[in-house]
Amino acid sequence: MAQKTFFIRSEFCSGCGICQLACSLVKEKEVNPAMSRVVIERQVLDGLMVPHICVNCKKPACIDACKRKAITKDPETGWVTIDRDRCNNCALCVGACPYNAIVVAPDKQVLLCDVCGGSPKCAEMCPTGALQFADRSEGIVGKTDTAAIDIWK
Amino acid sequence: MTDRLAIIDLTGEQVEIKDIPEEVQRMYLGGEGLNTYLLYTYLPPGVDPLSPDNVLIFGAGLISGCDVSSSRFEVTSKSAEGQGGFGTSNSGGFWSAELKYAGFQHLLIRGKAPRPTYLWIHDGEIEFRDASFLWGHDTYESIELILDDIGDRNAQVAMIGQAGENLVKFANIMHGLKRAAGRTGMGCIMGSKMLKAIAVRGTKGLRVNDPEKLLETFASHRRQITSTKIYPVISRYGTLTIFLIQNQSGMISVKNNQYNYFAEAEGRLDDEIFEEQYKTKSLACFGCPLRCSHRYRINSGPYAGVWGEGPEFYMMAGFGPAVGNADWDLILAANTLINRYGLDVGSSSGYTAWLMELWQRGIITEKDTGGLNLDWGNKEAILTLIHQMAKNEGFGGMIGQEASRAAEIIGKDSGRYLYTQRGMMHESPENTRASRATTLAAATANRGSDHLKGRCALEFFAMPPEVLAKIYGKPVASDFRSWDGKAWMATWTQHFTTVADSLGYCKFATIWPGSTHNLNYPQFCETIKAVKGWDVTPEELMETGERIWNLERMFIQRETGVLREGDIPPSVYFEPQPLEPLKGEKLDRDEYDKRLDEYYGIRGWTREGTPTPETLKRLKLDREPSHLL
Repeated sequence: MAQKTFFIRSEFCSGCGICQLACSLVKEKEVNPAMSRVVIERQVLDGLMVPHICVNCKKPACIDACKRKAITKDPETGWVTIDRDRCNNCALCVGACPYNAIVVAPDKQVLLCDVCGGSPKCAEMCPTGALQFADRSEGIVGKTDTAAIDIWK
Repeated sequence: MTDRLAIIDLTGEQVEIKDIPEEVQRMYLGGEGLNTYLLYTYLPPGVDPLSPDNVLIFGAGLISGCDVSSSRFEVTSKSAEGQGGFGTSNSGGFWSAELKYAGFQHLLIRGKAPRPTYLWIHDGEIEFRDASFLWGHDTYESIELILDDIGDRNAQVAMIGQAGENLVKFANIMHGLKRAAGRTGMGCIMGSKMLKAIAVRGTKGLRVNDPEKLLETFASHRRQITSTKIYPVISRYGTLTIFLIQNQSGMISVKNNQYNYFAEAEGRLDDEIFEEQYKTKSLACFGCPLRCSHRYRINSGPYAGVWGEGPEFYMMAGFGPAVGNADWDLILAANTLINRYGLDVGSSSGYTAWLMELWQRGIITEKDTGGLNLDWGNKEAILTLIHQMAKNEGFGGMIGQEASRAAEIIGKDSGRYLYTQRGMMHESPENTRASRATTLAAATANRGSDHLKGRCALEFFAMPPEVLAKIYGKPVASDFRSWDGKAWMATWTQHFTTVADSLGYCKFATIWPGSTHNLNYPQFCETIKAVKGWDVTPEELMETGERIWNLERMFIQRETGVLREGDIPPSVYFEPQPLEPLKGEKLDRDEYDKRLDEYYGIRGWTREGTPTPETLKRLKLDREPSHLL
C-alpha cells in the first residue's frame, strides 16, 4: 500500500492559518488555533511563514524518546500517533522531534497530528499548496522535466 | 459563548468588564456597528477629540476569527481629522481574531495615561505596561521591541508610529508591517491618550453554537471565494490590479485632480512590473485564502535595500499620478516610510498633491516651503514632506498638524484647490465623477469622502440589467454614467459594507469589489447561524446595516450639525474631465441635488438630511442612547 504523509513548502505559506482553524474545529470542536496540531511559525518582520506538522518520520525520534511507549507507528500506513491514555504529557517527545511538530497546548497537553484517518482537512483547505498530503514515494516537488515551469499556483 | 466588553480607563489604570447583551448584538452586531453604539452612548456630547474625555473604541467583528476572510477590526472615535465628526476605520490582519481568542470582543478606552503606556492583553488579563522605551520608535521597531518585552512572539500588536505620537491629524493605527486603520486620525487620538500599542494574545478559543456546521460553512465559503474569476487575479496582484483599469478608463486623479489619465504611467506603473521586479512573497490576513498583501524589496537604484509590505492601489495612485510620479521605486520607498511612521496614505498623498498644485500655480514658493522644490514628481521633496509631517518639523509638520485648516494659514487662493469633504482630505486617487452611484455613495458616507463605503464596483462592468436587478432587488442602470437606480445602488452598498465591517468580513471576499459570486448576505446568515445560533434573514441584516448607518448619522448631527452641505462632493467633481476617455464628463449640480433628494427620500430623511422620527422609530433608534450596555 502506498503511504501518504505531509509535505511542506514554506515558500507558499501565506500565514493565513486556515489549516489551524480547520484542525481545531475537527479535533476540538471549537475555534482555537492554539489547540491546532498544525503550528505556523510566523516571523512577521521577515515575512517568513513556516508551517510545522508531523511528517510521520520513517524512524521517529519521538518514539525513541517516549518512556511510556505512548507513541506508535503503524507499519502499514506509516502514520505516527499518540495514545492519550498512556501519555502523561511529559513532553520528552516535543524536545526530541526534529521538526518542531509536536505541540504543547495551553493546558500543557501534548498534541500530535493523527492525519484524521487519511483525509486531513488542513491540507484539503490550504489555499496555496504549502501544506500537502501526498504519496511519500513521490513527494510534491515534481519531475525534473517540469522544473522550469512557473510553480506559483 | 458570551462576548465581553472591556472598559479601560487609562487615567486611573482601571478596567471594568461587561458582558455584551445579546439584544444589543442583534441590533448592532459587532465591529463598526457596536462601536458606533458604544461611541454614541459613552462619548459625552461636544468634547474636544483630543481631550481625555474622548473614547477610542476597538471592536472585533461579530464573527471574526470564525470564518474565512472575517478577521477585521474596527476602530471608532470622535474624528481627529476634519470637523470632529464620525471617526472610524477598519483594518485586517491577525489582531481581531487574537483579541477574540484573548476573551474580548470590544475595548473602550478613555482617559489619558500619565506616561507612555501600552496594553498587554492575554487570555482575559489586561496589563498596563510602561512604553517609555517605545516612545519615538516607529511601528517596525515597536513590533520587535514589544514582542521582546512580553516574551511571546505569537502576540499581535496594534500600535502608532511617530505620527500618532506627534498628534498628526491623519495618523493611523497600524498593525503588522502594513495593516492600517487609516483616515479620521485614529492614531492621533491614540497618541493623545499616550497609548503606544495594544498587544493581544489568546489561547482560550471560541465555543461556537454548531462546530460541525461551522466547519462545513467554513469549507464552503473558502471554496466559493477561491472559485471566482477574480480570485486568481486578486491573490496574485491584490488591489494593484485596479490601477491599470482606473487609469486607462480615465478615472484617476492626476496632479491633484487636474487630469484624469496619466500617460507617463503606461509601461512603467502596473501590477505586473511590481510582481516581476519587486515582490518577494504573498501574505494573508488570518483565515483568508485571498493573500492579497505583498512583501517587496527594492534591489537597485537610489532606494536599493528598502523593504516592506503593501502597497495597495491607493498607495500606487496616491504617490503615483496624484503627485505626478511614474516611478515604482518612489512609491515603494514612500510606502515603507508611511507605514513605519503610521501616516495615512490618502491624506498624506492628497496634501502633497495639493501643495504641488499650489507650487505649480505660484501660490507658494520656496519661502513658504522652507526651500523645498515642489515640482510635480520631485522624489526627494515628496519623501521630505513625509518625514516632516510625521515628525512635526518644518513646512510638512504644519500640514500634519493643521490638515485642511492649512488652507487658512497659507491663505491666498490656496483653498480653491484643496478638495475636502467634512473637513477630510478627498482621497487622493479618487476621480470617479463620471460614475454616479460611486460618487453619491462616497460623498454621503459618514466619515466624508469614503471609497470604502462608496465604491459601487459592480457599476463599472456594464452588467446586464437583469443581473443587477437580481442583486439589488430593484432596477439599476448598466451604464455607470446613468443616474437611474443609482441612489438605491448607493444606499444598498452603504448598508452592505456596514454589515460586512460589523461582522468582520473583508469586503474583498464579498461581492463588493466586483465578483457577483463572492460572499453575500445569505453566506453571512449561514455563519451567524453556525457561530451564534441565530436565525437571521438577509432582509434583517440589511435593516441592521441601515440602523447602524442612521445611528452614525445621528452622531454626526449631534457632534457637528453638518448634514446636507457635507454630502456634496468636492468642487472639482462639477468641472468637466479634461482628457479622454470620459472627456467632458462632470457632475451637474442641479442633477446632483435632485439625486441627493432621491437618496434622502429612500432613506426616509428630510430634505436637510435628517432622519425623520418615523425612520428612527422604524429602525428602533428612537430611544438611543438606550444604555443597554
